[in-house]
Amino acid sequence: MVPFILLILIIGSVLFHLYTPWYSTPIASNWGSIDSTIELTFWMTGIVYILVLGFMTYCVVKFRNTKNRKADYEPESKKAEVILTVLTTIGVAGLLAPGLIVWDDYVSPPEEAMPIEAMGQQWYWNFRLPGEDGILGTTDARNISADNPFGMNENDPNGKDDILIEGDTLHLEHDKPVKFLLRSIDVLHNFYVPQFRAKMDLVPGMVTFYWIKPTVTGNYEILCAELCGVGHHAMRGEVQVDNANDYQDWLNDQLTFEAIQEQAMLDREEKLAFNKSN
Amino acid sequence: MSIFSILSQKPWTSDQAKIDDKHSGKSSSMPLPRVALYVSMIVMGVLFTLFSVAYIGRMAYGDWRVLPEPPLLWFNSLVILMSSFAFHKATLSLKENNNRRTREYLFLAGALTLGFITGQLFVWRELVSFGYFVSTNPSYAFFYLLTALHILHLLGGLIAWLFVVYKSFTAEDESSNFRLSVNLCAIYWHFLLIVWLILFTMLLLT
Amino acid sequence: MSESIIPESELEEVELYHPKSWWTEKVFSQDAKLIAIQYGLTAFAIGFVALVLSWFMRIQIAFPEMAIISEGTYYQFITMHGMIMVVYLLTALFLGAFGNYLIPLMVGARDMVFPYLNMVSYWTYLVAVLVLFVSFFTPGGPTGAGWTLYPPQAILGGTPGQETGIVLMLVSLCIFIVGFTMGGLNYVITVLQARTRGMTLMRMPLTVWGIFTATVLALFAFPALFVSAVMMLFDKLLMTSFFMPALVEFGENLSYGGGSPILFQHLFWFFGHPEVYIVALPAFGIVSDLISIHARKNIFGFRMMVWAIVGIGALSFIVWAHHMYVSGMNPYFGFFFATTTLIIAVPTALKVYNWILTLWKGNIHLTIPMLFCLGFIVTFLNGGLTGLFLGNVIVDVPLSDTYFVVAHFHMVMGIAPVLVILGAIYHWYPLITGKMLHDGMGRFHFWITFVGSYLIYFPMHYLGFIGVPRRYYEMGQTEALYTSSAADLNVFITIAALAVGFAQLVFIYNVFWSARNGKVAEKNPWKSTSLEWQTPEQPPIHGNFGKELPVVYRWAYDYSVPGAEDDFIPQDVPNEKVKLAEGYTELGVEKT
Repeated sequence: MVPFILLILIIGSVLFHLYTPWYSTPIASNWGSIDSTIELTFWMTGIVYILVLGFMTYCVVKFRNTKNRKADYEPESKKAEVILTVLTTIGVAGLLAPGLIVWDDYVSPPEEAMPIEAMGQQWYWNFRLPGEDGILGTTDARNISADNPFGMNENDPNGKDDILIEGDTLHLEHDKPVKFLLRSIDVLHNFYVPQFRAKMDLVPGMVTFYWIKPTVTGNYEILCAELCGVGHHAMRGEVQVDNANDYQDWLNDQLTFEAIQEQAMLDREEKLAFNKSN
Repeated sequence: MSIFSILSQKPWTSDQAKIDDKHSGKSSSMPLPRVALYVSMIVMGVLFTLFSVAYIGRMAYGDWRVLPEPPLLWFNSLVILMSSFAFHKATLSLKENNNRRTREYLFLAGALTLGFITGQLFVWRELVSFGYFVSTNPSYAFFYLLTALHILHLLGGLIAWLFVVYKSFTAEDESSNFRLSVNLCAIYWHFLLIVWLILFTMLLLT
Repeated sequence: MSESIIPESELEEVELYHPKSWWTEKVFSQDAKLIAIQYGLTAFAIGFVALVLSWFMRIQIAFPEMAIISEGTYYQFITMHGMIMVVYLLTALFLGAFGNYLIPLMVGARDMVFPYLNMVSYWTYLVAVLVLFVSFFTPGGPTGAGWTLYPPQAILGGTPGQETGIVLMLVSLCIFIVGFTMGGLNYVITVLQARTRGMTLMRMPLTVWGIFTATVLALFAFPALFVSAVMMLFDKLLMTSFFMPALVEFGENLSYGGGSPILFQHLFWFFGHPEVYIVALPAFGIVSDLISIHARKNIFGFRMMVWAIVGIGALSFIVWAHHMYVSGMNPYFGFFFATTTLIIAVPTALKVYNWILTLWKGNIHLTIPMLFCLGFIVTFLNGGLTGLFLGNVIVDVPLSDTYFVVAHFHMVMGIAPVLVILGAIYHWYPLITGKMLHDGMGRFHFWITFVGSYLIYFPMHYLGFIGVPRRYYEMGQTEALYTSSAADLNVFITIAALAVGFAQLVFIYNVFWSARNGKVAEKNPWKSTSLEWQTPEQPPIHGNFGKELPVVYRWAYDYSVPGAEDDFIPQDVPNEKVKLAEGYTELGVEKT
């Protein structure tokens, strides 16, 4: 009975893997190399799994206790140990090498990647684009207030043309690499879009990063991937990948930091005037 | 016998079995309390090292403020050095079988240690009166934390010291148990002295 | 370490402590065997609490519309479940229970070297458990920061447990660590200094090697947790900023500044990774012995097994940041830690091969302990292989913080070692109680537990592949990602989990029923060579070995020795006393 159940488990697992509806979501970024590395790992580990468990099942059948069976007595076999060590090392190296090559790519954003800030807080996402000058203005957590939710440094000229997207959908342009600069103002979060494959923690007090190149237009959900309090599961956002024209249209509709500040000032003056006249 | 040679043995062979049959079952000829102290000191060493690593790592950040060094700290260092010296003299007196002298040096060591601890508390008081609180700044926080940890270990040592002093009155002159206790206490004190010197140097240099 | 070869007459026997009252005999016992049982019962009790928490968690995941618990409660439950299982159950069980019972017996000692300290270590552990348990009932409830307790969230408002829970958790951990250092001193020094004559380190069974190495790891690793816990307590209670950067909480600028959350993670995982080996190494040691005994064959490649245990233990200190690949730490660390992590896979794989090669050409008795060994190999292989995914830094990027990780660590640290614990209990129950556990109930328990656990965690990996994050109260409205079939899978997993939970109730019943009504065990029913079965009485009484300590003449794996009549030779039987098989004039030649 035991070997039967073992066989069912092994075969069942293989079948499950081959026919599972739950496998990677369709990829929408340049990180197909990650998927390839995963597939390579599946092949290697899958073969090892089947061979090792298959051999174990065989042993359970062949060497089952019978009346006259006597076990072998062999404390050591240097040959077996050496062969197994060498094979395992080769296998492991075969996984590590491609993995590190892809990792090297992951930590080396291309020069032309546009920096986009993703700012996380409990429990929603804000974004900031660098605007015309291509440079994000500096910020400080201590500047954060109701009027200045991003904590922009008012003195920094680079920040004036930054485009602020508060709690709304981030749009990306198809086929243009972006480098996400990740900033949190309260606790650890993690900016994760399954279809992009990439993710990185947001750490308050520092700026982290990762880069992607979106390759498929569409709408994608952002999932926070680092426990950040009771609202962790509800900290969602949306990323929309547009073609060049749609992206430009969207961009034109966005307000810069300067424009928002002017609007706020106008609102205040209007209110003051209204109060005065009453 | 290094760990490598031990692990290379083939216990199932008859040649090895002949050697093994005569083994006493102990890996070291040291008495148990000494082994216990050494293992404990290793664990304490790991603890202090980790705190120091955290300290050094933290130093790299921009908002590091240097703590002022009250002269009392230097005086305290001298006191603890002298307490170690007193313990050393105690062990020497033991070798000469002069138990009365040993007892006197033990008392001196204990008193000096209490002096050190009191001195450290006074340093804290002085710093607090100048407004250097534990929550003001990480370098202050580390200072209080590290010195508190050191004092706690000294207090633990003082408990052992009490037992040793008690034994010094009741033990027979030739008791090896008493000798061992004094020696081990001395080693522990030297260990905490070294820990203090390293901590102090680290605090001074930053 | 110097090998001391001392003539017998000069060895002094340590004076054994004899209890004088009911209290000091049955409650504040200094006998390692009773202390072991105290550890075991306490660990199982609090472990059962954690198991029940997991039932609520699984019901919430499968049936979110029911909202059986609130969000805050959910996060509190996952935190307590994780911390209890890893630290208060598994570590306490392997080191405190198995270590205390088996080490003195297996090395031929009458008790641990510091029995009073041993007793204090148990009561300290109990206090730590009570402090943790009390946090369920204090204002605000227990902490909900995840068992990893990451700052800044662990001590800030958005996370449950701010009033008292996080403080009680940290204090409980500190108490636990103090207690375990006391116990650890005992286990390590007993193995080094209290073995009986003839018991060299290489003649010790792998069970002792596993627990011993794990204890050494614990002595080095727990200080790191202690350091991080103390510093976090300072941040919480004294408003220091060891781990707290400048932050704005719900619109309010807090007074913290300049701290590093990543520093905490380094310290925590410097403890945390060795911790999983503290759980795994004793399991490795025990399963090696169980396979050997129940297949009547020496463990294949004994020397390699010892080296692997020691090597894995040492390497476990340089892999920790594979838990931090996406933490925002310096990305170049990823290269180093991925390499060391995949290197540690090699000795681990060798152990798996050796377990199976022990079965090869063996004489396999499919007893219940052997069944649990087979279950261990299946689940550990699975869990170890998925570790290769996560250890390879770039593959970890999409998979980290998803259900792939949850499936991996449950398989490799939850199921596999627990199968060993269960098998070990079936194996040593006759020694501890003198009775056998009921066989029918045992097989039922095994099959439901093994197959059920496999059905829980194998499919769960695939939820990770589609991107379902871990530590989510509910997936909510995510059509693109979380298809309704995935929701169905979660229901299936929950049902399997509840079934496995039920099977544990059968096991608990068996343990108590058999103590009264079980078949009386014959002496050394499994025909094991190791010393714990060679005591005059079964169960062994205070002092373990009667008037004279045993003398050891062979290693622990003389099973099916050519030339011997029986298929095992106990360690304390010299060659002259071995009954030879027909036609042999001396024991067969061993291969070198």
